[in-house]
Amino acid sequence: MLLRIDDASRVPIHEQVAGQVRAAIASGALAPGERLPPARELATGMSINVHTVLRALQTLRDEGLVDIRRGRGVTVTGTAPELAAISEAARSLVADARRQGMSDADIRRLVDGAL
Amino acid sequence: MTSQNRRGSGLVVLALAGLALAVLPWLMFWQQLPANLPSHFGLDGRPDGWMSREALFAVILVFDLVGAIGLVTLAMRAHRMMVAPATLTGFLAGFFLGLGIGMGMASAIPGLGALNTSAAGALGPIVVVATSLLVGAIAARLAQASARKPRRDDASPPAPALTLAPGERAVWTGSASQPLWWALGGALIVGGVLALILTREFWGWLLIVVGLGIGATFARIRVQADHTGLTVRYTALAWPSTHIRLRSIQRATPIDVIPSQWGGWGYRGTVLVAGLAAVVVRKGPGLRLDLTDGRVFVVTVDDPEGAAAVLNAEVARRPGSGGEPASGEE
Repeated sequence: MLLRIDDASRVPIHEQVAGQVRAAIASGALAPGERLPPARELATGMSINVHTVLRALQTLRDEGLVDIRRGRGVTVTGTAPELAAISEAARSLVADARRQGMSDADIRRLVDGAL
Repeated sequence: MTSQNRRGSGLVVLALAGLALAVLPWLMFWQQLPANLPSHFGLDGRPDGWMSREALFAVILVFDLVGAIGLVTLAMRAHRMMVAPATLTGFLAGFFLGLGIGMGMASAIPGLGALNTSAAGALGPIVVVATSLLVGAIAARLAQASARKPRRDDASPPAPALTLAPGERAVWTGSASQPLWWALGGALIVGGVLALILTREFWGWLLIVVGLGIGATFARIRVQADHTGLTVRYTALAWPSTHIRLRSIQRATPIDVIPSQWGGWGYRGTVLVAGLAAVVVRKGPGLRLDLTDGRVFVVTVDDPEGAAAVLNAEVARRPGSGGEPASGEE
């Protein structure tokens, strides 16, 4: 699994980390059931605070992509690959729509229209 | 001197000198040796098994001969072998010979090891370890000098690298697993339990510990490549881990690891003593690090291209680096 972060980007680091892990899950670099390296080791490797990494992991947990369990660490859930792809698609949609100048309300109306 | 080393004569000299040194203590002190010598020590350091001095000499001589024959064979073939396997084979053969020399000294020299069960006896193990490592190191260096040097026209495998912008940082994590290590460890544990039941000797415990240790070390290793360098972490051990600092790394290359080329499975060689170390848990893809001082480190890991890319990128942007220019960019 390759994680890249960019200080120069306006995207907060924890979101970058979450996005990178999401991409790794979507691409199959991280398989369901696989255990992520400890947050401490990832943080040291990227020269960032361990809490930044933990925040990213909590975001992914809230999205249902990983499980966080005491003693078992952070593991990829069974449905993660599909969820990750969809989550990335949603983010792409929002980014594209914002680039077009759409407001959040516009975007919600767009998604409602598709439901 | 160079052409002599290319014929491996240094290794032959080492083998003969080693044999002479191995036999010398026995010749010198044979008359003074009792008919029976301790050949086995209990946990408290007192001997609890004896052999006739002839039998003990013979057993130790086997170690000497295995090592010496190994060195001589290597001397004849080293010029056709690549540096890495030659160095490791030299280290192993030298280690065996040194083991025999040390055991001979500890057994035959009065006061050094076996004959006294007092504090003087503690020197014995130290002598054995020291001679093994020393002869192993000498043999490794000689083998290295005798091995086939890579020719200028040997194709250099491509070393991938990422392009990292100044504010960018990357960390690559991967692993390599071979569940058979658990099976091997399990077999040793079962053997140890049987030994304990049948013989009640301490080496039953030793087998159990070794079995646990082997499974806990090599069954699944984790590898991380980032701006600090390369870190290898072993299955169930928080410590020790293996860390190669970025500033020691010149170049990272994905390779295919064939265990016989790297001395076998497990932790092969030592960077300190043999100038070369390899962590081999299975056959297959791995990462080779060429270090700035010429030493080499290899670790088996799945999809090593990403690890190589990160390391080469970090080496390239290291201040004042003479890092290899990458042949590919992502």
